[in-house]
Amino acid sequence: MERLNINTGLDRFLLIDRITEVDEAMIQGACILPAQEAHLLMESMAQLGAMHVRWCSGFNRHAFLSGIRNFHTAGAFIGTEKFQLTGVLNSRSSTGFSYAVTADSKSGRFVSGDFLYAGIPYDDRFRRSFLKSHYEKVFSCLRIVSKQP
Amino acid sequence: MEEVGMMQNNMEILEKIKQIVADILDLEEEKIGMDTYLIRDLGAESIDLLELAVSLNAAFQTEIRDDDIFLRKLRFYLEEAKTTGRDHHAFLAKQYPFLEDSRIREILNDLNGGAVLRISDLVCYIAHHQQ
Repeated sequence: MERLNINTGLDRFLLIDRITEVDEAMIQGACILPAQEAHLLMESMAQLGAMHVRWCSGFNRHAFLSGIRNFHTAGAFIGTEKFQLTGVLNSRSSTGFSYAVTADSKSGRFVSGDFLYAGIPYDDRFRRSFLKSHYEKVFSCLRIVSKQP
Repeated sequence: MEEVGMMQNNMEILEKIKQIVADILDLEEEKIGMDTYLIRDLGAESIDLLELAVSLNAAFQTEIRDDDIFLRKLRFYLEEAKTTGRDHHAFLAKQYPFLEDSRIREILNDLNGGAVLRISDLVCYIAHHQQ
């Protein structure tokens, strides 16, 4: 498989800046995107849902984005913007998780989509010894950031 | 009378499942019936089954265990029954309490044909968990 490199213009892969609320049914967060790139917003929304899948399973599963449906955008990018992200868990099975995820900004930009994930147990390729503690730490940092003024 | 009620309930479940499967696989509902094989006839892939599982949860408000409803561990169970010297039919009946004896017999006679999962198996799973 050919490797595809995407330059995000950022110095990190994690696009969510904070997680402000989380419970069994939903997760909320925020991100600031400096570029006029819709795909970064889509990635931010995907990362938010994946974080909830991991949190729901006590970080005992790895989350894979399996598909996006009904992706809609409204409003135009005006440059660097802060987005409020919300993911609502609509339905789930023992392996699958389906979310309605939205992103909106003060400028009136509104994006929504249905994101489907698989929550898979760790294996030799996706190792528990590294990933569980890694994502626990990332989640914890994003929550701590959200409590700062 | 109770049997008539169960049949009616199963038909209602079937109609909903047909709509969901047709939407996911982009098919005509008319191509889907109780005896349709989900993978063998309709070409459903693992990602389709994932979407199907969450859609069934949303439609029926029933807990969906992917391994059970999609008979994922069927051949593993058969191997386990073989290595432990247990009766295949009885072992499967214990693992899949939502399947009737006649369906388990069909499955055991159909193993060489490929993936055995039928729409009727999904209907039986939902009906069993609604009780």
